[in-house]
Amino acid sequence: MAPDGLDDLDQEAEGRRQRRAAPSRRSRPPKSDEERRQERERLDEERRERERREREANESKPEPVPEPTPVPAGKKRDRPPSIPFYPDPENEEFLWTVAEAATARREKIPATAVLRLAMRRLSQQMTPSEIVRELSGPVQTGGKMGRPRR
Amino acid sequence: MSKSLVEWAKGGDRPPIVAAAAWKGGDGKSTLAYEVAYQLGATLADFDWDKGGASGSWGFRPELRVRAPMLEAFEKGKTPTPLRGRRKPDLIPSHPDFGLNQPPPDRVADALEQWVRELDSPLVADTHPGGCDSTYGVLQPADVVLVPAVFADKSLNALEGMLEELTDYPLYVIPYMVKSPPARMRKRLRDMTTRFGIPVGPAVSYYSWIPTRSRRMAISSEPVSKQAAPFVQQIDRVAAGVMNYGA
Repeated sequence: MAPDGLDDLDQEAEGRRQRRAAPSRRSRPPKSDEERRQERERLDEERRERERREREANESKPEPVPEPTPVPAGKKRDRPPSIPFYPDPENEEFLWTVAEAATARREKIPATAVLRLAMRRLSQQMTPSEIVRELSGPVQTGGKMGRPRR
Repeated sequence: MSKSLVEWAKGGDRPPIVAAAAWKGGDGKSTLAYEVAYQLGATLADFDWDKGGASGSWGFRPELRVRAPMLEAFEKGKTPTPLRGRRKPDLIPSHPDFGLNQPPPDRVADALEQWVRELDSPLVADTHPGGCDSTYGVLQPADVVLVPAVFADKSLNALEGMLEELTDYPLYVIPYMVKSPPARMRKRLRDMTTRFGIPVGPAVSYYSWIPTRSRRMAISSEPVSKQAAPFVQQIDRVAAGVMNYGA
């Protein structure tokens, strides 16, 4: 009598079950207690070092970044209005350099954050009238408003 | 009656008759019968009058033919001349009118005995799904009845009914179109076949390309494509099981 097909199917199913139960060659072997302890110590050391660096960086900072005002629970935070910004090539280059430096530290600094910082510094250094005087003349493209008249 | 193909090869009194039957359609009777017939060098007698049967796979189109060999054979009581083709089994084709003109089971059984003696070659008979006169007639003289068992609830329900009804026939259950059946279905088939004492043959896997295949030649005909090699290997094992059935 030919082999029983059901026996073959049972064997195949058993083989599949064993393959599933066997550890994958890709997965790492289970760690021993000693290895686990060493890894825990290494991670603790890294965490302490990171905290120390952050503390030093905060101490050397000239000014603390103001905390955002807390939003009352249940009230949706109003988003500030967006204003178009047309950077010239130097601005663009500088923003790109900032983004690059942020990426090197595995952080993400959007252009809008850079602009807010610049505004904050500018408001400390100059008054509005000084800014107007600084910008009057060269940035005005004609000084005329409305439809050009013949 | 020969007990097995092996005994017939040693000088049995008549070539064996192999039937393919199932109480549910679409379980793979025709493909199984077609391939086993080719492997055994047998004549394929198609008793399935539906268009999806073995005659259609063979390339027989009754609307283009003047004669209907199956109907004429029963009308005149003569052995039909099988159609021959390259790389496919010899065929006694069915006809769409056969469903309405089925002879009673005893006449079909007598006719098969006559055909197989006069043709002097093994005969594989493909049947219409379910129990009808021609199917019961084919099953009577059959030395082996191939029963494809598909691992699906409806198919197993139908199979259970068939095994209950035909438990004294030489049934040979072939797990067919198999694709990782769940344990409960394997157990169900095991319980069924054990309860009725039916032997189980080698399994044939599910091949997604077979239902959409448009070629008419037997899949196991030489040269066998690389894609078809695993299927042909399994059909070989089924054919070997049929050869040795009851030996």
